[in-house]
Amino acid sequence: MLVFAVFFSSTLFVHEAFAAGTPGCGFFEFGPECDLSGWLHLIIGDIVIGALLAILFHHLSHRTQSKLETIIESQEALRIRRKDYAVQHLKNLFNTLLFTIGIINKSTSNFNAALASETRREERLWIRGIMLSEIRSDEAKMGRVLLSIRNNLMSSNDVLEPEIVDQVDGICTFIGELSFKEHQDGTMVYPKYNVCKTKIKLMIEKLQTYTYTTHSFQEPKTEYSQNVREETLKKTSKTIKIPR
Amino acid sequence: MTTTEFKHGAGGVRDFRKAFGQFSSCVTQRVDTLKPIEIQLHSQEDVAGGVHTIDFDKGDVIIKQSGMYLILAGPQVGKNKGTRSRWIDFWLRVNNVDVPDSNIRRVLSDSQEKDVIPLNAVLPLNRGDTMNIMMAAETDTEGIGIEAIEPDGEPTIPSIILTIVQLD
Repeated sequence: MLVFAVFFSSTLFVHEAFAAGTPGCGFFEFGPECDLSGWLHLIIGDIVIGALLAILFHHLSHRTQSKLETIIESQEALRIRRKDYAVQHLKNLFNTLLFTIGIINKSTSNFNAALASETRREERLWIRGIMLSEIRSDEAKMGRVLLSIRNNLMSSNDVLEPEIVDQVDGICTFIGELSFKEHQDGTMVYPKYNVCKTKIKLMIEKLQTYTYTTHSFQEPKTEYSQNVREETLKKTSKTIKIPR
Repeated sequence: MTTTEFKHGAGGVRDFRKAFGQFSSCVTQRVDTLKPIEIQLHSQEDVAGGVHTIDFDKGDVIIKQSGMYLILAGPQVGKNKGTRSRWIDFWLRVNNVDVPDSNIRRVLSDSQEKDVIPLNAVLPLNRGDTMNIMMAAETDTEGIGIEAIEPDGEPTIPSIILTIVQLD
């Protein structure tokens, strides 16, 4: 800036720059007998050429910019399409998961009921065998659904919000770690069925808040329990009384 | 961020933007297997007019709002027989996966020894996440575990008190 200022101010003192090209002609005078003055050289030569170059560069940058905008818009449209599909697919998969877990729980109750039934031993064994194979097939189906959810998550984790990805991953991890427990009396139980159901329902609630207009999730309305909870478990051992 | 509204006092309404919960168990829970076991919770304090912004089902604490949480647990440890020193460990489990670096240990020598050991952690938890307090002991024959105590003329000492507060 300093160098430029010195250069510019020095030109003010060079009289040739202000002088008309030919004695008797004005600074901005055009004519066959008049040479161009220094100012006209500056205006016609540098400024006009500079302006033309500026227009050319502006045109080129505008063309590049519009191309980039087209690419960005198409990528954004693709991202939104992928997100819409991922959310819709996740919603379907979680509904399937909820349904499958419900069936497994029901099959387990039926299995335990068959164990206690009064039918003949052979018949009871046959019923148990059939039910056990049904439970196993439902369990395998649940495994496939969980795998689909994980695959969906893997393919769309760049378009979904990190919170949703974490939440879905948490549910998959939780359910994936569970397995049937068989008691000594032969009865079976699917552990933490209620917790699984609650978690899946919370996830579905969240997925249902997705709007296709803004392509984003809303904060779901959480229903908070407000009743005083009664003890759900029987006391396994009594508290210790310490006399004063 | 979800805002929780509830009636407070004589018809006033208070807003809570952060989740919180205080849980306890007045049941003695002793280790009867060498595998890790989940500590069961049996009651939730009805602070804030009984609104539960964090829920629980037996040993599972269910988070309803995503955020960063401070977790403080104080199990009342003890054992009912044996004179050999035996350890008991406590740690956190989120979504059935153990939380690294959350484990703590206390060694108990005899049945007269009672102590409360602090277990604390700050964890990012999402809506729908479940959290458990786990315990495991060196032996399953000496009645090591968490004990609820009923002193005369005092409130019951719960076997565990768990406090969870959302930070952000």
